[in-house]
Amino acid sequence: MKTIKIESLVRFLSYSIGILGFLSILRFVDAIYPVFFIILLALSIYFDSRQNNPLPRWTLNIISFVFVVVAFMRVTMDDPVKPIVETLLMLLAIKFLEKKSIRDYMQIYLISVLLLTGSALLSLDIEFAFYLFIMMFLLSVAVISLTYYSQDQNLMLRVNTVKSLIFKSMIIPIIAIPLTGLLFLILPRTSYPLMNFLNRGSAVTGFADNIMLGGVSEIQFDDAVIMRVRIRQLDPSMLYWRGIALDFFDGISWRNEGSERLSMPRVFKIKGEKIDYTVYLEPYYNKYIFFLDKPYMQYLNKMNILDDLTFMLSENINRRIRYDATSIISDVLPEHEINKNRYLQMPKIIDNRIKEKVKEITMDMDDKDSTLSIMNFLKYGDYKYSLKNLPITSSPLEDFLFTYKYGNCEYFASAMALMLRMKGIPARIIGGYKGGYYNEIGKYYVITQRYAHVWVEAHLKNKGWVRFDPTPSTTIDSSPITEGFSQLRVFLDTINYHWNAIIINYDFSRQMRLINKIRINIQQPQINIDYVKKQAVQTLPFVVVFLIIIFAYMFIIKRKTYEERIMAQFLSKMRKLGYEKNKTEGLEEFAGRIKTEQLRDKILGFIQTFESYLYKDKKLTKQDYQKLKSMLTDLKLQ
Amino acid sequence: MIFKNQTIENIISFLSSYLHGKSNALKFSLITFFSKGHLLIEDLPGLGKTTLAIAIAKSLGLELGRIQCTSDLLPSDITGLSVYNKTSAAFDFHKGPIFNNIVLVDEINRATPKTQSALLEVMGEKQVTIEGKTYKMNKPFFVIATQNPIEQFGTFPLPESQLDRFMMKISIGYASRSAEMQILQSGSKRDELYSIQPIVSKDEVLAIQQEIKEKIYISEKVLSYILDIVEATRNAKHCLGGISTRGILAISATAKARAYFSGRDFVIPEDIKELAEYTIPHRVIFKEEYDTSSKKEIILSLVEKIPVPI
Repeated sequence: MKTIKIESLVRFLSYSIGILGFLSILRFVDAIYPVFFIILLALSIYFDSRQNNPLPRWTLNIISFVFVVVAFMRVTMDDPVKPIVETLLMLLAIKFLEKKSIRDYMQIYLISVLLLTGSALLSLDIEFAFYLFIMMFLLSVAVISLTYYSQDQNLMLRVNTVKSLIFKSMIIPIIAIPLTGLLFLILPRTSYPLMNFLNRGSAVTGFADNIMLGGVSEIQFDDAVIMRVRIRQLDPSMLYWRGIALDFFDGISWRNEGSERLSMPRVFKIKGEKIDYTVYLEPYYNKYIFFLDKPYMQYLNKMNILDDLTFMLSENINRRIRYDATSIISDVLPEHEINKNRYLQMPKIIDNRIKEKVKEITMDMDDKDSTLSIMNFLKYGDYKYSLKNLPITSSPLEDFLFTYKYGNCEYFASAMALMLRMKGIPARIIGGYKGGYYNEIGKYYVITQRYAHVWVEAHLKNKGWVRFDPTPSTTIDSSPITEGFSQLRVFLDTINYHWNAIIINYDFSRQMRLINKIRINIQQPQINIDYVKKQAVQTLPFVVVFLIIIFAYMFIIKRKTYEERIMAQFLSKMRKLGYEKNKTEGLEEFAGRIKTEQLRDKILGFIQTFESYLYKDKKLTKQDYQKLKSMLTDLKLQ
Repeated sequence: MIFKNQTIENIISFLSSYLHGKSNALKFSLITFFSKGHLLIEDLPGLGKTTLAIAIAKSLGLELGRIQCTSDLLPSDITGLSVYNKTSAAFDFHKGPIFNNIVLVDEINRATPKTQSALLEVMGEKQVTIEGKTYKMNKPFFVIATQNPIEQFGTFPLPESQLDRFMMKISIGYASRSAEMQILQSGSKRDELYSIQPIVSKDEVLAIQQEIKEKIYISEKVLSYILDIVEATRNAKHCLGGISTRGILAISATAKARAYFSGRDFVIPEDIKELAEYTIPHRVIFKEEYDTSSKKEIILSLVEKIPVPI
């Protein structure tokens, strides 16, 4: 019967796995790398066939280290995967060059799998599935073969055995792949989309930059957290979280049409209490940022300031962000010069009943009284607040005012803004959140989607923009909205908050930025004292940690002489046999305790050789160390 | 203990046939002998001390002298004295029994302190000065002294300072039942002992002694192990006085001999540990309250607390 040497089998499988990993990323790397890889691989195969790997391990380790450092220099935020994959490819080639022990084979498998993973990050087409399937199969066979190999390196397997081994190994991927598919459905996605294919397009329906009447109600049943704000507890009437200003009404929905970006923030003299706070905003896939009404100062990069005192980022918020801000609590924004046409715009077709109503309730009144009168008409009149069965029709506002007489904040605010505009008073809708649940444990507000709210700002002469909230507090719903916070949820949210507070302060992009800075500094050495100082302060902790690790390592290595290593190995072997050496016991004395004569003689043999170094103050050389080590390995446990 | 040194193994296996059940005593005697020390055997009479001494002397091709101590024994009875020679009209020096290679001093505690100290001085100096003339002892020179442990009237127990001069203090103990049965069956082999041929010559013995002294390596680790033990005896609550500097030398010398016997050219901690109960207790002065309890046990428990250097 033909036989196969286990070592050849393991070697063949390892090369196959390595080549498979290589093929999976072949399309993505620069041409030079495959050339290198193939040359080195050919060299490895040649060395292996001669059973002689002339390159010492430490040289290869140094080369690997250099590659890793170079890779570090090349990693960018835009394309972190490619340099890493290229480096891994080189590491794999170097690994093949080494004289391979079981550990090295495992490392080869690991690097190959990492390469395959890297290819998935670069492109996720059907080819990946093909490689994945073969990889899983090869790995299963290889790892099982390696287990045989670890037991006996000279094992000869009959061809039949190899066949059944391969057949049985097939079962593992066949069972595993469907399970993996299941996990793919269950597991949550990463919070930060590292690569483009992840998370894209999965935007939740949250706060929108236009408000369609009846649209917010969906959100208002939602308990998802939109933000957490570290701040002292405030009076609920102060808690207007200003997000977006809407100026254009088409009869059904409000949008923002006329906002312009300002290059410089405008300065207003606002009177009121000044409050500092920190916001942790959850990803909600829009650009607007929320502040306590009225924002006074904010600290966030890349922010656009709009002329209606709202703020937006240039990109959608698709990960958690944190910002510090200061606000002045005030109803009034003293802005006197405004574009009146923008805030007096009205839909083309308006029901006359509304016009008449406005006339009726604001007869012979000045702007200020008219505004109050309109608000009171809505807030304290016949209208009730509800989230259910809202009038979603082609003329929702009219239906709200004259037929249904109930609605949510959108209806109230829209009605008021429109009526103000009819009266000739500039008005706009402000969208954001109102209120929040104060977490006493964590000392912060947690604001969920159910706090979403819209209100009105009216422009009054000599005053500026004044906030009015026409939404009544009474509700006609049978089940009033309760604050859905059990003690457990508060507790869990507190943990969540602290986690975020730590993680957001040190997220992936910050790390990338830091790496970039270090790299730029290395690439373009400049003598700029301040800059260097700043860099030094920033990198110092890393350097210190790195040095500590190096020193600790060296210290341990230094302290662990060959003698100590042998001793430790011997003692652990004896421990496995059930003999624990006493500190005050001599080695031969210790061996004397062993009951089996055969074993005792063997161990005495080892001990006497070891002692002839130890007690003659002869330093163990590497050869001696290996000799003793092999003696130890030969101490077969019966 | 396994003897790996061929010569020593020959000696011991040869003598074992004459000394039933005294293998330990024989081993320690030889260790003391080859480390150029002297041996004190504390035991009851009739357990084979003399046989042991004769056996060692004969097998190594050495001369044996014997001194039976009594209270009227004078120093000159040991060292020898000058006698007037009529014919030559001069004093001739007549050597005492001390001028032998191996001297068996029986019941040393019955001699008067004066005689004891004269003897011990010879043991220490390996020379004696009589009437202004200095006489060197023979080489090798090995004293086996015995004393009866059961207190009796008219004895002068050796003071601790004198005990320190003995490298080891051992006891033979009763032979085992089977050994005694064999003795009963075949009778004492004392007579045969006188006629045995030496296994090694005197010169070889001296060469071995020299080799042990010079060729056996003792590592600093092991030396500091010895010093740890010494320090422990000096600081122990049981003891008034610990091991002397002479004691340290004795410990290292016996350890070297044991290493040589085991076929090693270096000392391991076990060499010290195993001999500790014979080399240490008689050198340590115990406080009165501990004097009655087993000194050996106390010393062993002290040694057992010292970590072995590895």
